[in-house]
Order: sequence, then structure tokens, then C-alpha cells
Amino acid sequence: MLKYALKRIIKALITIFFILTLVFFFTRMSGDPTNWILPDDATEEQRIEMRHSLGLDRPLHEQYFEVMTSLFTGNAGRSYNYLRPVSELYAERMGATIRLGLISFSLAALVGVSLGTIAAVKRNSFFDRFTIMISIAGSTLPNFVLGILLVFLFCFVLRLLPSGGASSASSYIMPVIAMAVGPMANIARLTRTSLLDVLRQDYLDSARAKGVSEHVVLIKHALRNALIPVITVIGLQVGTLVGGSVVVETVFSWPGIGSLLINGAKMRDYPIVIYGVMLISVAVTVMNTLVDLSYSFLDPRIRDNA
Amino acid sequence: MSRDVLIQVNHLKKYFNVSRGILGHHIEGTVKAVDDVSLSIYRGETIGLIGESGCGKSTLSRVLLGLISPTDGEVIFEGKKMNRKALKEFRTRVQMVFQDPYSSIDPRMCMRRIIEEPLRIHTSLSRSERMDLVLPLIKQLGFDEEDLKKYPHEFSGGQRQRIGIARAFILEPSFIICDEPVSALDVSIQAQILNLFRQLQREKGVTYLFISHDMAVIKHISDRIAVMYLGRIVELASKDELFSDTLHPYTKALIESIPVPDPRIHTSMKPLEGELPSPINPPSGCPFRLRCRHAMDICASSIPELREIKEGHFAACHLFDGRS
Amino acid sequence: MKKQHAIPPMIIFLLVTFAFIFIYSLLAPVLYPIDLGATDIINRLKPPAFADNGSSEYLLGTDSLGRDFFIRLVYGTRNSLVISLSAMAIAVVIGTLLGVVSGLYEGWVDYIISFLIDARLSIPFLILAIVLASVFGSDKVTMILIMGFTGWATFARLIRGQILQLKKQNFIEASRSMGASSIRILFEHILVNISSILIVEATLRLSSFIILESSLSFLGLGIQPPDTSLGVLVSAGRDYMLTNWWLAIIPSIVIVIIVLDVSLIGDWLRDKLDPKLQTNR
Repeated sequence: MLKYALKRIIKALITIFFILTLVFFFTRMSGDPTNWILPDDATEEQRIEMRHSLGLDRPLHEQYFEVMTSLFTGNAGRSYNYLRPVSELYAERMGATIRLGLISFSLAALVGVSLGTIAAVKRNSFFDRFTIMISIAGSTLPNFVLGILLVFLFCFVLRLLPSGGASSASSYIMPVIAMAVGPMANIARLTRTSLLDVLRQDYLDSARAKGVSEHVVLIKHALRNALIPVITVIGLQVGTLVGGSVVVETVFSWPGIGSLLINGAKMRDYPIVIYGVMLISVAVTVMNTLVDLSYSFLDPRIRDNA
Repeated sequence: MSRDVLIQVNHLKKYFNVSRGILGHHIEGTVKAVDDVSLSIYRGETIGLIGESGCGKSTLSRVLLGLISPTDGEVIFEGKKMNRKALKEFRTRVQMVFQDPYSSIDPRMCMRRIIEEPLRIHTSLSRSERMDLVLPLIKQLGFDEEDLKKYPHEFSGGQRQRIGIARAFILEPSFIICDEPVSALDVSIQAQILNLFRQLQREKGVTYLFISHDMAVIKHISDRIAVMYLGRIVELASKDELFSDTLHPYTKALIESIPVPDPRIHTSMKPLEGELPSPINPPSGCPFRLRCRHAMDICASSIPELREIKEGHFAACHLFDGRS
Repeated sequence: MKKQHAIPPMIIFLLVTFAFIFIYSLLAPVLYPIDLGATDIINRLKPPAFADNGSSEYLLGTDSLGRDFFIRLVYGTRNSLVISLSAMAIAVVIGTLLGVVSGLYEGWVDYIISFLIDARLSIPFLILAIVLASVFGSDKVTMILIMGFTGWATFARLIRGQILQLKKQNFIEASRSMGASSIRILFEHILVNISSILIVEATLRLSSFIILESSLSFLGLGIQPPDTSLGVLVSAGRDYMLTNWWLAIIPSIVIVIIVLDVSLIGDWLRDKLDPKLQTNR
């Protein structure tokens, strides 16, 4: 088990370094950044000065080494536009994104699993059909569209909520909904299918035959087995959430790392882009690895085949 | 039966390394799937190859087909040593009928395309020329011209197996390997398919290597029988000889395992004890000794050679060390 | 035992809707031969025909630069669909190629391709596309290439799994034993057998390509004005939501309709081809 865990972690690290290497070399392919940071009439001295202050005059391998170790040192150069260390910029905005992400993630998991369970137990009922409809719609709607529709409804028609920012508790409502609906729909759909699969198994009948009450059968026997695949899907939603946060933060002017990354990408502020990609790939890879490990912990067959 | 040798197998070996690790660098052991097998197959005969699953009979058939290359040893087919160069020619002369009639034919091809696939691979005949070859063959196998348009899921298991047989015969090969061709079928269909094999052999003069784990099937179809255990041939004789004077204890156990339909006959049936040992770490000496009633000290120390005990009757067992 | 070939009326409706939207938007340059960049400031932010003071001259009114919004919507839909479909075609080709190679050849080739698939999937589709768009720019062709070269991984993984399953089927071995070359086996057996699952996956994934395109354009990293796409329209309409709400809401609804339409068709196709639901195999 320990050996398996170690192997997964090493693989995760290699993956992150591979992605960072690719992104690093991609961004160096677009030429000299002073061309778009400085005005066109800047003198050669100003350019040299700029390159020096950004550390761009150092040998490529040194810059590459700095990026690669930034995962551990936190030092990944300075933003072209803000002229401040990117790690500082991200640290300032990290909290807002993590709060939004955690709330959305918990909501998606809780509501998703509950909806899926009720739908499976009351199979073919009105509620079941309703859940299927909602989950198809929810898992396909782009979240910026959802965000725009929410803003239109709650700010402009009903005038209940602020359209952006993170100033009060009520400003969390719309971003959380916009982010959580997609993952929630996926989780609900999978919980339902997985539970229906399990409910068909014979061992539930044998539990019922022993006189175990229906609630205990459902919770102790069925749900526990059905949740194994659900955990994977819940874990995979982290990627969806991270991708979504970039869009949702832009829609709601949320002061998080998603909007920082987007602005960095638009202004070709590559230190910001690289650091953002590193944070995101670390978050996603760590989550995937945890899911893999917990999955193998729950299901011994996988561990032995690994 | 003429004694014209069609295939000569000399000291054939196929070992697989069992490895672990990302790059497969930890070699944990070697499976001797086929270990020093020598065998002559005569033109026009049916040689039955029997053994439990995992004994290496499928590996042997795939080496004979050239699907996997042997670790050591040689196969001589119609006087020519089989190698890469001879393979193309060899493919037209040797065909195989597979065990599972469900997975051995492509579900997305209609029957006509399945049967004429060998023709499309090896000849440049036109469509109508191919049909001239396919039609008489499928009529012989009990199909109509209409059936050619159908897809595999429209056929029963027995019919699918007959399609597989038609595909094997379309090039008029001299040698056909039948890898458990009836074991996936209902018992009622098995006899029908076995009789079809015999009828086709009479008409086309083809040679069969017939592989099965079922002694009753092997007894029904074979002229000679080879018994395989953990990669080695332990006994080889004509069918009548094998059943009238069984030498190897393993063969005896296999013969006793044939069910007798008459309940009044009491057989001295003693089923084989224990499991087939792991092929990664086979027992020292004779591979069968752990399950053998007659195991002696010598069995643990030396592997018995396959020797001719009587004329045309070979066995690999230390019980017969004195005889020959 | 005969399979049901009847298509449910709901699916026919969805197919017809999609075909109508697709063909109508493709014909945009023929139906409305205008210069997308031409502006008419005097007639800016005119209300649509359905509003109280609207006129029939502009069906959906005009945008902030006085351009006919309905025409821009048709052009935007056209760009979104053409870009998504082309990108998906590229992703399918790359994914199938890598998946087939990886599934067929075990050992280090498979190992490398599997690693690439995992690496690609460990960073969200949108984020990677954002990075690439920031480096390589975002004219239409670049966008198609970026989306195609980031979207292949799920196809590769699916095809690899299919090939591994197919390899266990004896008919591939049977074909090899008959002397068929690898190319023949690939074209006659493997590609034919994975084609239906590939079509289902492509339909199901089409919506995510449409979403990616509109998200990128919405964020300002995709199609650049004066050219337009559904995402660009939503993004531009946001600023006028208080007074001219339809500028943002109508393109949003068009996105919803297209995406739901495609997903429901994909869902139906998957159910139809799901091996679990097939009795006769």
C-alpha cells in the first residue's frame, strides 16, 4: 500500500514538472516581452533595464530552474505589469478563491449525493425525472451563461443581490450557484446510476431477509457500496471547478486567482500565467492522487492489481 | 494411414518472463508454457492434444501458427523450416478454428466478408470469383446464399462456429489447428460439429491438430492422442493403444474422469487431487509428482524424458524406467 | 431480436432544430452580405421588434455600435459552430491515432502516450486553452488548432480502452493467423469496430467544444471584435443589461439551446449503442 502511494505521488510530481516545462517553453516562444510591456518608442537602454529588472537577461536554464523549483520556494519571478513577485499577487487573492471553491464544492457534493440518492430510491417518480432533467441541463450549461442568467434574474429583474464583488455574504450566493451546479449535476447523475446498480444486487435482499430495516439496508449496505465510484467523480469535479472558477470570477468580478490568471493571460504576463498553471495543476493532481489512493483503500482489488 | 510427415516439431520451447515494475525490469520468474516438445504430425491424421487449462496447449498452437515465435526449437512444415520468410506461404497452408465462436468472428462484418477474408488477404480474385469458391463451401456446411448477407449476431453459436470453419477451409489448407472448437457450444451441438470436422477431413484430406480439455471429445475425434501437462507432452500414442494400455498416471486420471452414462457401472473414479501447480515455480523433477499416486524419490530429482515404451507409444514417467 | 430503428419524435425534433440552426448560420454570408466591422452610431441600441417602441427594420434591435443584432447573432452562431466542429474533428483524429497506437503497442510507446493523456487531463481543458491562446493569439485558425490540440485526450483514452478490449477478442488474432497485415487489421477490423463508440463520444463531447469556444471568446481570449461569436456577444451585451437586456440574454439562450440539443442527441445515441442495453450480443 505504501509502495503504491509512493508510486502515485512520484508520478504526480513528474506530471506537474512536465506541464510546467511545456508551459515555460511555450511562453518563451512568443518573443521578447519588452515589445508589449514598453511603449513602441522605448529606447534600447530602457528595454535592457526592463529585461534586467525582470530577470529576463539571465541564461534560459537559470530561469527554467527558478520556475521548476517555484513549487517549493514560492519564488517564480516578478509580474511584467505589476512589477511585484507573482507569489505575493497570488497569496493576496488565494483566500477569496479557496473560500468560493470550498463552499461550492461542499454544496455540490452534499446536494448532488442527496438528490441522486432520493432519485434512485424513488425511481421513475416525478422527482426522479425532475432530477434527471436538472442534471442533464446542469452538466451541459456553460457556467458563464448560468452566471449571466443569474445576474439578469437576481440583480436586474428582482433586484435582490449585488451583481459582483465579494463585499458581503449575499455576494457569495450567485457565484456559488454558478460554480456548483455543473459538478452537482454530475455527482447526482452518477450517485443515482451507481445506487441503482447496487440496489439490484442480491446481498441487499439477503439483508432484508434477515429482517434488517429498509433504512439500514439503504444507508449501511447500499449507499456505502454505491459511493465508491461517486468518490472518484467528486474528486474529478475539482478540475471542473477550477476551470469554472476562472470564468465565474470574471462574470462576478470576484477578487480571486481566476481573474488574476485571465488578466495575466490577456496581457501576456507570463510569470502570472506560469504560476497560475502551477497552482492549478498541483491542486488537480493532488486531488486526483488522493482519489486514486482512497479508491484503492476502499476497493482492495485495485490495490492488488496496481 | 500414410506415414508421410506433414509437420515435424523439434524441441520446441516457449518461455514467458513474468515481470513487474514500470519498465518491466524486475523479472519475477519464467513460465515455461511449452517446454521441450517434440512431435511428428502425419498427413491426413487427426492428432488430439489434451490437457487441463493452463498446461500450454494454446501456447503450443499459437507457436505452430507462427503467431508467437518460439524461444527455442524448430517447426518443419512440408519439409521446410518455418521462419519469417516462409511465413506468408505457410499462412495459406495452415488455418485455425478458434474456441469462442462469439469473439473469433468480427461482429461488424457480414458472413460473406468473414468467410472470404483469407481470399482477400492472399489472392487477387474478383468478387465473383471469390463467390464461386465461397458458395459451394457454405452449401456444404448447411447455409443458404441468403445467409451471406447476415451479421454474426443473427446466428446461433453452432452456426457461428460453422462460419469459423468455413473461413478456415476456404483456402483449402493442408493443416488446421482446432483450438477447443466445441467447448463453448451446447453438448447437443458438439457432436454435430465434430461430425462435420470428420466429414470435411474425408472430403478434403486435411490434417487436424485438435485441442481440448475434454477426454470424451478427444476420444471421439482423434487418431492419435498427445497428453500435455505443464508444458510437456507426457504421453503420446494411438487412440486405441492409449485407452487399452494407459501408461502415465496423469492419463489414467484423465480417462477416469470421462463420465459414464450408465449409472449401474461403478467406476473406480478417483478424481485428481490438488490444483495444477503454479507454472512460475513448478515442482522440481517430474511436474506431476505432487498429484501422483505413484510418486517415488527419483521423481523429485529428475525430469522424466518422453521415451518410446512400446512401438508408437511414448510416455514420460519414471515408472517405466526399466521398460523399453 | 430485431433492433428498433425508429427514432423518437423528440430526437427528430432536436435533429431538425440543430440542422436548421447550423445550415441557416452557415448561409450567413449569402443571406446577409455585410461588413461586420461597419458601424452606424446614429442607430445605436435600437430596441428589438418585439419591444413596445421597436420597429421591424431591426428584428433584434441594434448593438452599442448600431449594428443589426440579429445578423451579428447569425454570424456569431456560425463562427461558434464552425470553430467547435473543426476543432473537434482535429481532436478526434489526433485522439484516435494516439489511442490506437497506444492500445496496439504495449510497452514504452503505450507508456508515453498514457502519460501524455494523464498529463493533459490533469489540467482543465479551459485553463490550457487560455494559456495557449495567450501565447499564440486567437484568430480563427489558431483557435481551431488550440482547441483541437487540447481536446484529444479524452478521445485517446476512450479509444485506447476500446482497443485493449478488442485485442482480447479472438477475431483480431484470427485475422493475424490468416496472414493479414497490421494495416488491413486496423482498417477492416479495428476502425470499423470502434467507429460507433467514437461517433457517440464525439456527439457527447461536441457540447464541451462549443462551451470552450464561447467561454474563451467571453473571456476575451477567443474571437476578437469586430468579428463575433456567441461568447463575444454575451460579453459585449453584459454592459447593457440594465437597459438592453436582450443583447446578453438572447445569445446566452442560443448557447443553451445548441448545447442542450447536442447533449440530448448524444445521450440518446449512447443509450442506443450501450452494450448493456443490447440483448443480442
